[in-house]
Amino acid sequence: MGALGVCAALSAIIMALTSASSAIALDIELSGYIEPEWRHFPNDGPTPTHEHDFGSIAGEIELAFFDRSGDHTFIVTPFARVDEHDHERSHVDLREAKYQYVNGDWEIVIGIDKVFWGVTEFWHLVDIINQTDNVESADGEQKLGQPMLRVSLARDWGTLTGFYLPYFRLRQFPDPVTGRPTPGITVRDERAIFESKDKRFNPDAALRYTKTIDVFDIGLSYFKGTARMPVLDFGPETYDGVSVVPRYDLISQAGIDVQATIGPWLLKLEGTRREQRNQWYTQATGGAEYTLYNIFDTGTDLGIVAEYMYDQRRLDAPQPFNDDVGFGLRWTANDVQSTTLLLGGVHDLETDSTAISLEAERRLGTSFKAQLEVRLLEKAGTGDTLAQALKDEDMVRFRIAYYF
Amino acid sequence: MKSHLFTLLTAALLALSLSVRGAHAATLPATDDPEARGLAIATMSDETNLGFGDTKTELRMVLTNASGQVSERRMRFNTLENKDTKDGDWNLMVFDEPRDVKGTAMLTYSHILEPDEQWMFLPALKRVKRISSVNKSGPFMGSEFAFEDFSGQEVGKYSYLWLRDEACGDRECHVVERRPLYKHSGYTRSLAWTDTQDYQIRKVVYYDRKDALLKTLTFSKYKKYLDKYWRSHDLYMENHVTGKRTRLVWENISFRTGLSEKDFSQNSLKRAR
Repeated sequence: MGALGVCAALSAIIMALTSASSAIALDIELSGYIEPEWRHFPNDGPTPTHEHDFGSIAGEIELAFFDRSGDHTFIVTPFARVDEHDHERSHVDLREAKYQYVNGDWEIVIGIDKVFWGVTEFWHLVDIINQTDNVESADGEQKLGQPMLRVSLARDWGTLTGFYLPYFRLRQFPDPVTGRPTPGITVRDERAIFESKDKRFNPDAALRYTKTIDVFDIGLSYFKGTARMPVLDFGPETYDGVSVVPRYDLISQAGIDVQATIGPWLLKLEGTRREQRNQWYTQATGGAEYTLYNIFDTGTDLGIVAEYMYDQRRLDAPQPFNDDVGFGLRWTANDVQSTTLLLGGVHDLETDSTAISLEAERRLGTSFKAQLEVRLLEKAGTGDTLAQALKDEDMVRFRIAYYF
Repeated sequence: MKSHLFTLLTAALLALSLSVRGAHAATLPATDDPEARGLAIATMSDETNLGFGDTKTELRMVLTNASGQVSERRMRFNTLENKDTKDGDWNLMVFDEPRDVKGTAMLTYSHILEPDEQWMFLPALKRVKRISSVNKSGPFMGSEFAFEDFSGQEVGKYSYLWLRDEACGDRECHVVERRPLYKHSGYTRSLAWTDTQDYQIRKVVYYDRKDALLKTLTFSKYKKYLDKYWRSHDLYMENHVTGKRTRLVWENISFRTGLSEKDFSQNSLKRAR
């Protein structure tokens, strides 16, 4: 769907709703942000056409309509980015475009939405409903809107949610000519191969059950459908020496996520058992978060996070977290400007590859927020092909967002 | 036997005083039993709020630093009274301003001596996070309020000691020292001024963990709802150490809006707006 099509459809919906709102007493809320950004890559890229500096601007608007009872809600949240050099990174996405109906214990959502599952900080293992917005950020935290029908029932015995996901979103990769960070190969999104004969229209389904028992928050999940992460296979059929065609397999995945909240300790565990191409494998991540409140009587807090990441396929795993430890420090100033600092590192125990990140943010005045992010690949271990490919992709990013 | 009769009589009088509005200090335990008197004052104050059901409120927080710079926060606060008086109330708080935290919401099941249960909803990631409730003494949203200052003020959270009765503004107040019995409080003690007419708290003075004077909270602009429930619309907190001030203004309060347990679930936390 082209950006123009999205805009036309959106304005039609918005106009219809705005006129309906005066007739049946809908409340309307508009909010969002606009955010200029500068990214700098100090090292040379794989070719001279790969840029060092990228100016960019992004914006998101949330338009919400809800009736006075609060039972019916309609939300549209378009997101758009324009990047100076990277044409793949210039993109439009509907983060949300959903109708939500609540009746007592029941909740029904039809449309495009974002859903998060899980408890851990470094690797969101069980989280699978939404595709990662891979051109937005390298940490996988940003997600593309996912079309769905979702029905949820919340009772004393827990909350059970069923998902029907009729359409698949492709993972985007930076522009092969100019874009960064780049592993130096071209990923041909438009030629993606699907295991499902229905390709992007494979009917994916998922089920999730959550329950809080005393200090434990427990989630059980099951997903059957197309994997969100593509396999980049460098075999003769998908790789021609320059570009690779991503392959999306059908998977079944059972997941569990548990957090125990005990005093200042948060103990976390996520695990999946997954079937992919007739192979069963286990993935797991877990660890602890401990917060020191009011350190040195400064009124500020320091959180310490340590997590381990495991993939049964070890070095054959097509993703970086196979036998890794993550360590993080989160400093919260508790000041008027909500200043926070986050220092994180991930170390691969098998290959010694080490990545470090620093994120700082602070509100300026009442409506602006500044963010600074530094990502460094401290060490690319020998034999770690992914780390080797990304060893010159260190990045500094600065953003100032205006919220309205 | 005589003292037994006296206790019975006191209890009967206390029970009577709870049902009669505008009870007088004369019905309280005598001044030679300051602990019982302090507890009775706190109990009577708490009883004035019994049966409120639920409330929906909108509030504004005005933060002023030592050099006079001002910043504001806006939020909405829904409360459900716990019918089990041995347990705390349920709260759902949604932030509207500053705009960068709009939609961030916090669900709290408060308990009396057990740690509260708290979940936070982060709208950008659509993530619900169970958070540690140990942090009840830290600055709330950069303000001079700590979460413990305006979370449940259940009787069982403190031990009490009546100190004196004295004038407070144009009223007469009981001055009672409260020592928190729950863990992780930022205070060794606080002094609460409760007026002798409506049994509402007019002022609280807080002492930090080293028992040094820390903050003063003044309640004003009391209004009566449903002919029974008093609510202060202006809570002014002054930090004597830093010189910073925070004014908490309750702008709209509606009672018995039909909220139920369903409106205080993790699903409703994600929907909160």
